Amino acid sequence: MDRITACVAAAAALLAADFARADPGDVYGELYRPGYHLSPQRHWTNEPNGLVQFGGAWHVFYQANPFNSDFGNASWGHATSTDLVHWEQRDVAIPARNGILSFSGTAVFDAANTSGIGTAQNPPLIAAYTGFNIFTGVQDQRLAYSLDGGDTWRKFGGNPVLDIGSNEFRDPKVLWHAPTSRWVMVVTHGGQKRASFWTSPDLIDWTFESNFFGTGMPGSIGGWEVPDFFELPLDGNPGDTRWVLVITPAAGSPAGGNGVFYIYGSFDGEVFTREHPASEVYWLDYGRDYDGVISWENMPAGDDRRIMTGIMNSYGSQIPTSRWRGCFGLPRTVELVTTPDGIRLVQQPIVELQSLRGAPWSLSNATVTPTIDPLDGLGAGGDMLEIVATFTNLSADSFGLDVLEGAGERTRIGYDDQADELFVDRTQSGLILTGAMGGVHTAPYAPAGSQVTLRIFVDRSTLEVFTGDGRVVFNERVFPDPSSVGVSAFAEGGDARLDSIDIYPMSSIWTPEAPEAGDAQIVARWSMDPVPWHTSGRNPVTVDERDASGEGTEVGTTLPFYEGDPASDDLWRFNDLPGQPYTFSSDVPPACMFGEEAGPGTASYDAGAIAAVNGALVCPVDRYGEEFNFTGAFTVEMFFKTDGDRSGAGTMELLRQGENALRYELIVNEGGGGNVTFKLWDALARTASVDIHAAGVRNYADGAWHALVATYDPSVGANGELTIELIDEDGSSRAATATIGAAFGPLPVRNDGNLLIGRRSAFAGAAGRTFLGLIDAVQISSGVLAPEKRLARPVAGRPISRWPMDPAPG
Amino acid sequence: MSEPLNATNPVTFDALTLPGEAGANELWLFTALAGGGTQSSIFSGEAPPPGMFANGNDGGASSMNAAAFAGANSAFFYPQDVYGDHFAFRDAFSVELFFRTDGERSGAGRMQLVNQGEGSFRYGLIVNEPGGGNVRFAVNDGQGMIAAVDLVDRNYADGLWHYVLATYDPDAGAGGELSLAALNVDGTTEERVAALPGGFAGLPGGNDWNMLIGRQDFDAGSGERTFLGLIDEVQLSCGIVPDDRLLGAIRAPTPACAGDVNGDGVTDVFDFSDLAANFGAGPGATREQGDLTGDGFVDVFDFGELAADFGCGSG
Repeated sequence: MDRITACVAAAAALLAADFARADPGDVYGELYRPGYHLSPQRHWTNEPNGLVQFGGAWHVFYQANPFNSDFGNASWGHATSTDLVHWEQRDVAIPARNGILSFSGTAVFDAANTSGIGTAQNPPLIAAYTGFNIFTGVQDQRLAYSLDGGDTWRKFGGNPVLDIGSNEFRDPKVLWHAPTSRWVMVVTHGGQKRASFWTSPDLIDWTFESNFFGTGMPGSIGGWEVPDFFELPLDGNPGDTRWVLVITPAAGSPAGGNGVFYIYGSFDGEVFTREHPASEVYWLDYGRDYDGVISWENMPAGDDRRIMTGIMNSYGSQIPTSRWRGCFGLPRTVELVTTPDGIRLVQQPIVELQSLRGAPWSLSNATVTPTIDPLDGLGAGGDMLEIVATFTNLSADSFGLDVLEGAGERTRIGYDDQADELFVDRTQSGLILTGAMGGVHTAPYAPAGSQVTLRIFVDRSTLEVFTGDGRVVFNERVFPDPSSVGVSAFAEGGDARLDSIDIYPMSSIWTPEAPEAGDAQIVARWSMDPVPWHTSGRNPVTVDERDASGEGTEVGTTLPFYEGDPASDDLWRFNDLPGQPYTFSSDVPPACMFGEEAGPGTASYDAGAIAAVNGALVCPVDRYGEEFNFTGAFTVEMFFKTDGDRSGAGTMELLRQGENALRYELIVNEGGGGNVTFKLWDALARTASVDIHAAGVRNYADGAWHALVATYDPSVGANGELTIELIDEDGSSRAATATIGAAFGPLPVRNDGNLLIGRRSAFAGAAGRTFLGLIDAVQISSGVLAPEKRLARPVAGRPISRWPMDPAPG
Repeated sequence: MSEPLNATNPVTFDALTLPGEAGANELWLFTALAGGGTQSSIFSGEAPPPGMFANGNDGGASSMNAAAFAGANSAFFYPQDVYGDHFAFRDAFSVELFFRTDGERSGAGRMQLVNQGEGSFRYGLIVNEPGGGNVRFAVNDGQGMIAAVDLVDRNYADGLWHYVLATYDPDAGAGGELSLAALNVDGTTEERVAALPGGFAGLPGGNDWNMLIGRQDFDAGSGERTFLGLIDEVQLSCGIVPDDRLLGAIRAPTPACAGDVNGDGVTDVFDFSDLAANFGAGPGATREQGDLTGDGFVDVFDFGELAADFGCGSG
C-alpha cells in the first residue's frame, strides 16, 4: 500500500467511524465536532461573513454549501447567538441563485436608512457580498437586506451595485466613516496584491477613491482576500487612533499557506497610508488554521470591543468529517498597544467564554523536570478544556504542556528558551492526511519577565493557544483518536517551575437534537425545478434537496457545483431531442397538497415530451452511488398528472429502480386502465404487487394531479407488506394494502443500475413505456416514512403566500 | 397578459418566503402607464392602522394603489407561468386582504379586489356587488354555477379601511359553505355564511391562468373593473386559516370604547388630550395617535368620533 492509498484508506475508515459514532439524530456529537466552537449544523463552510450585532443578537453569516460538505454553491449560511458563546443554527440567508454564487462580504446597520431600502422607522440591515458568476468568473459587489432584524434576507433588486468586470474583485468590507459621513468599502483583488477603497452616500452608488498595494512586502505573500478595516485607539487612548487593514493572503503565512496579516496606518476617508515599513509583516496568528478573519460591526452601546473571528479549515475537503466541514475560531478581542517591538495588535479570547468553565483541576509551585510531571495523579484530562498555565524557566531548554495525549499521540505546546520561540508541535497529533496537517509551528516571543503564561483552549479537533499578554496566538486543527484526552507537563534539558495551572473542563454549547422517530430517513427529494444552467447542456438538471448521513458510495466527480458529496443524488437527463433539453412544465401540483416543509416549486418534469425519442431522466449510479437499491423497508412518494385522459394509453412507468435489474417500479394502466401499481421484484425476478384499484376502480390517468405514496415493509406479517395510497387535488384519498406471499424471496443485494423516472427504459417506443404527462416532487426514503413527514400532507389553514404590497427594492 | 410593458418585475415579494426560494410567489406588474407606473403612483405610503392587525402582523410601509391603473391596459398580478398555478384551489381555502376606496365609491360600479383567474374565473372578491357599497365573495364550479356570499350591513366603499376574510369550505355544513367577514376601523364586524347551493359541483381542476389584484382584466375598458382605492396585505391560505394565523384582528377583542385613544378602557378627557396633541398628524397616523376613523389622519372627524363616545367605560 503506497502512502496515498494508505491515506485514503485511513480517511475512509474515519468517515465510516464518523457515521458509526453518531446515530442519525446525534447532531453535534460526531467525531471531531468541536463542543464549544461554532460549526455549521450541516455541510461546508470556509469563511465567516457579515458579522453584525443587532437587537441583542450576534449574527454569524458564513460561506456555506447548502447541499453538501465540499466547496461549491457558495451561499451565506447563518447562525445567531445572544451571548457570543451559544449558537443557534438558522436557515440559509443569502442563497446562490441563477448561476450567481454569494461569495464573502460584510454587514452593517444602515441606521439612517441612507439606502432607502428600509424606512426611517425601520432601517435595514445591509449585507454587502460578492456575486460570482459561475459561467464568466466575473466578481461583482451586491447587496442583500433584512427588515426584520436579520431573520430573513432579500437580495437587492438593483444588483450588482459595483461591477468592474474583474475576475479578481471580492469580499467587500463596508463601514460607516463618520468624519466624512459616507460609507467606505474595501475590496481585495486577489493575485494583484491590492485593496481598493470606494465611497458611497447610500451603499448603492459607489465611487473609486484609491488603491493600496502590497509593494515592498515579501513576494511570497500573495492572493489577497477577505479584508477587514477598522479604527482602534492606541493603548486605549481614544484621542490617538490608528486604522488597521486586515488581509487574508492565500499564501506566505508563518505556518504555510493562508493566514492573516495586518497593517496599521492612517485613513482620511479616501486613502489609507501605512505607518510602518512595508517589509515588516505582522501576523495575527502563527497557527495553520486561522484565516478569513473579520470583525463584528454595530456593537451594542457601551461595548467598545473589536471582536473578530475566522475560519479554522486549511485542508478543504481533506477535513475528515462528512456531515459538516469547517468551524470558526473563538471570538477574540483585538487591541492596539505599544510593545517593546513597536505597535502591535494583541488578542484575547472574549470573557464570555468563561461561562463554560467547570470546576478546575489546579496546582501551583510545582517543579517540572525531564522525568517528573507534577500533573501526574491530578486526574486532569478531557477533550474540551481551557488551560491557564504560568511557567518560570529554571534551567530547561524547553518546557510546556502536552494535550490530547494518548497512545502514540500528543499535541505539544511549549516555549523554546534557546530560540526564544513559542511552538505548537502537531507531528504526533493524530491523523495526518495532507502535508498541510501536522508540522511544528513557531512564533518569536520574548516574555516581558521571566514568566511565560499560556492560555490554551482544547476542543476535540481544535486547539487555540494565547500568550498571557495576547501578543502571540496559534489556531490549529488536530485529529486525534477520541481516546486521547490526557494532559501533562514537560521540561527538556533542565527544569521549569509550574507557577500555577488551572485546567477547566468546558461545557458543550450544543443541545443534542432528538433522534427522528423510527429509522426512516429521507434519502432524496427532487422538486423537478430546473437548475439555472439547464439550457447549457450540462447535467445535473435538477438537484437533490435532501441528503442524509451514511448514504453514498463516494463515486461522485470532483466538479464543484452540485456534485462531489455522496449524500447528494441529483438527476441527469439524456435524450435525442435537438439540444437535449431538460423538458419541464410550469404546471405543478396545487400547493395545498403539500405539507409545511415542502412545496411544488416552480416546475414539474414533462416526461411525455421525450416519448418519441430515446432518452431518460435518471439518477446515475456511477455518479452518486447505489442509494435506492433497498433491501429493507422503503417509501416512494411522487406527484403525477397525465396530459389528458390516458387510461387507454397502455402501461406507463412513473419510476423504475433499476435500469439494469428491476427492484421496484410504479406503473400506470397495468391491470386496468387508470390503475396504479406498485410492484416489487426479488432476486429471482418473482414479483409482489399492490394495485390502487383494489380500493375501488377509478381512473387515475385522468389529467388531474395525484399524489402517490408507496411503501414496502418486510417486518409486517410473515413476509412483508406493500401499500399504495393515492391522494387527489381535493384532499380525498384511497389506499390499498397487499400481503406479500411466502414465495417471494428477499430483495437482492446487488447493483441495479440507474433509477429512471417517467420511463421504463431509455429506448423510445413500447419498451420505453413513457409516462405521458407530468411528474413532480419525487421523494424516496429508507424505512416507512411516518405520515407526518410525507410530502403530501394537507395542513388545515396554512398561509402559502402573503403580499405586503411594499415595493420591491429596485 | 400579453407582454411586459415598462416594468421591472417582480414588484412586490411574497413575505412568507425568500425571493427565488422554491415556493416563492411574487407579484408582477404589466402596465401601459407612462414610465411603467412609477412606484410613487402604483404604491401608496398609506397602510391600514395597526389596530386592525392581529398575531403580530402589520401593514408595512405601503399599499397598492389600484386606482392608478384605471383606464390603462394594466395588471398587478400573480403570474402562474412563472411560479406555478398555486392558487387554483380545489379544496378549502381562505383569502384575506385590506382595502380602502379613495373616497365615497358606492356608486362607481363593480370593482374587483381579487380575480382568480384571468383565463377562467374560479373565485373573486368584488366591491359594489350585488349593490352599491356591498362586498361579494364568489366561487365558480366551472360548470355554470356560481355561489356567492355578500356583506351588506354597511357601505364598504366609504373611503375607510376594511379587512375582509373570505373562506370556501366544501366540508362545512350539510353541503359546503362560503363565508365572508369584515372588520372595520371602528372595531365593528360583519360576518356572513352561505351554504353552497345544491348542484354546485365543487371547484374544478385545470389551470386558471394568472391571478389579478385590484382588477378583473388586463384590457382597459368596460371589463377592467378597476378597484378605485388602496389594497394591502393580501394573504392566501390552504384550508380555513386558524384564528392565530389571521392577519386581521377580526377574532380579537375590539376596543370596548370607540373613542378610547390611550387604551385605558374609557373615553375621557385624557383621550381628548392625546388626540389634541397629535392633531394634524398624517398620513399614516395610528389609532394610538388619535386616528379613530382609520383614514390615516388625526382631524376634526376623529374629534367627532371621540365626542360621540365620551363617557364610555366610566360606569
